[in-house]
Amino acid sequence: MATGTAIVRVPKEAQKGQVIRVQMVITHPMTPPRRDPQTGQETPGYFLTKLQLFYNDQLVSEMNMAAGISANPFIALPLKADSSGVIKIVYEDNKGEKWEKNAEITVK
Amino acid sequence: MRKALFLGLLAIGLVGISPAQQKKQATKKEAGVKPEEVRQVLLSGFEQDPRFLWKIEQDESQRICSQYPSMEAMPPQAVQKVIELENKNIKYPQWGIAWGDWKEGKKLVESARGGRFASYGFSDKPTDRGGNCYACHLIEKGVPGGTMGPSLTAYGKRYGITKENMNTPEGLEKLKTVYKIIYNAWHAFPCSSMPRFGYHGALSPEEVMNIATYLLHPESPVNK
Amino acid sequence: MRKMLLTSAVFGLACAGFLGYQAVKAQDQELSPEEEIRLVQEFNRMMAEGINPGEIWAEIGKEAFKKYNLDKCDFGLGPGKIEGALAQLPRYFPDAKRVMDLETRIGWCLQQYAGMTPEQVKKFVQQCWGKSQCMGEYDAIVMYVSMASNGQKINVNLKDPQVKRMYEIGKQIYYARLGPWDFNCAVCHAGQKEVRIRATRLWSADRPGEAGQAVAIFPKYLVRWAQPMTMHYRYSECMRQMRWPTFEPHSDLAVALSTFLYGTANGTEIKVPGIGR
Repeated sequence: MATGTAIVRVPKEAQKGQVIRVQMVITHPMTPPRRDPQTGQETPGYFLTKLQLFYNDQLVSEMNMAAGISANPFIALPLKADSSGVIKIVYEDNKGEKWEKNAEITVK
Repeated sequence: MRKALFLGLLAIGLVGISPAQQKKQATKKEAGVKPEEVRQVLLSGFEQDPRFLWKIEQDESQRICSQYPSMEAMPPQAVQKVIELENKNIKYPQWGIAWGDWKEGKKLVESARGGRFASYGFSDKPTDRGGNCYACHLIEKGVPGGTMGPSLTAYGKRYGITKENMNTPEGLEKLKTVYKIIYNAWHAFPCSSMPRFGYHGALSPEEVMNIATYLLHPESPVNK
Repeated sequence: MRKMLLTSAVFGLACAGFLGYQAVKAQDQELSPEEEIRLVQEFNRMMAEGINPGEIWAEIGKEAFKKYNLDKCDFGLGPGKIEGALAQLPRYFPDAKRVMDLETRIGWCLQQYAGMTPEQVKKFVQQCWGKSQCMGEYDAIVMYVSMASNGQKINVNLKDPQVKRMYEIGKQIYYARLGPWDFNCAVCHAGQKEVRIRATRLWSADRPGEAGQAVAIFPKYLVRWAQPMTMHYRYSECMRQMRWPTFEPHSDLAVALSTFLYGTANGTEIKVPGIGR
């Protein structure tokens, strides 16, 4: 029902030049590809593949993921705050679904 | 005169009964609720599956043990009563006290399955058997276990059982002691946390003998 | 001659050193049971940092709360008021004539305001039991209502005679030996001695404060099932492990146990969701 929902948390305010931590948690089963030992049937798995972090529409961080990451992953990325605006994450999985989520930050 | 005697006896009788009543009342008054109420609440909390209603019946020892929060809080009479009752509830394998198969015992000790049922999933099959011993005991060296019960590492060695004396009457007596503890732990440790595996049928007498062999046999990995 | 002795001595020392180093290295790789357990507990501590995935269920729960008309539901502080609701539950509700805990009250309100029958409520409650990564609406509602009381201290009113009665019943059930393995809650969760079952340290109702720490973090997000676990699901799983019959959610048994546990936990700060293995 809600696979792919995310929470993005950043401090509401930051000083210019301060390194903040962008925390996010995404719901996703992250099932690995599997081959049934009895029947030999293969399942391709269902997991997130890419996460991109945009700061004011500029790509600052890109992360490739695979099935080794656990379900409902929590990810924290460091970011140097230098201007107020929108922090956006765009993430997609191996079945081609794509989502995004925003958070705002004010920088003094 | 006779009336006075009668009244006097009646008075003595009543005085004699009331301390006993008071003692009984004391435990109930502290509780403040009647056992019937507790039982009704308990019954309402389970699915009315006729296959499992027998599980809610308490036997005499369980009833006694439910009144005290721990072994230490029990008065000597209750301890005696439970020991008496449980000593009658021990059965031995068909071929008596003899060393079993420790490999089978090892499987039973390590398995956590046996008897778990839930109508929404995760039910053990009727063919699953096990004692889940590692939940409460440390048994083999290096294998993580619980600390609720005493540590059983190198049990046979510590008990003094060797290849030479394992088939003597003393050796078999030691096997019998351990067998009895696993079969019905309450016969020696009344109201202990350990289930009475054999008495309830969770493990058959032969399976209990295999487990006792696994703990005590000089060749078993527990004692190596 | 002396040169040969010297070289053989150096060679022997080198061998001994090499073997010794290998022995130390081998010991390094093999963990004792205490080490393993310490690492598991360290893992549990590390899991407590960051955002708890259970908070996503709270967002789903916010919508489901309105969808099932639960803003008409009175948790004891007025219809629809959920801030501080968990802190004063279980309590007696005159409209239902029963003492109820949070989940029982949600179940009752679902029957009253969302038009569900008791069987439908039970199915709704159990939709995620036995599954993993299940985004269930019931768990979401419980999570949403519980999180609204974050930071408040548990304050069950034990002076109310009905609540006190349930507390006593719960206490007796806690110590009642039952079933084919002679288990009760107190076998694991009582006593003064610090014990563990396999690698998990057990909390005890007899040691002060521990019942509170265990109970004030429910619903708890479980990493192994990747979904939250509510109190009634926890009771059900405990009873399955105790070899008791299958638990009926929202029954008086649940209310009795909740009253006993939350009553013992009076004064603990609520910190939902918790996280565990």
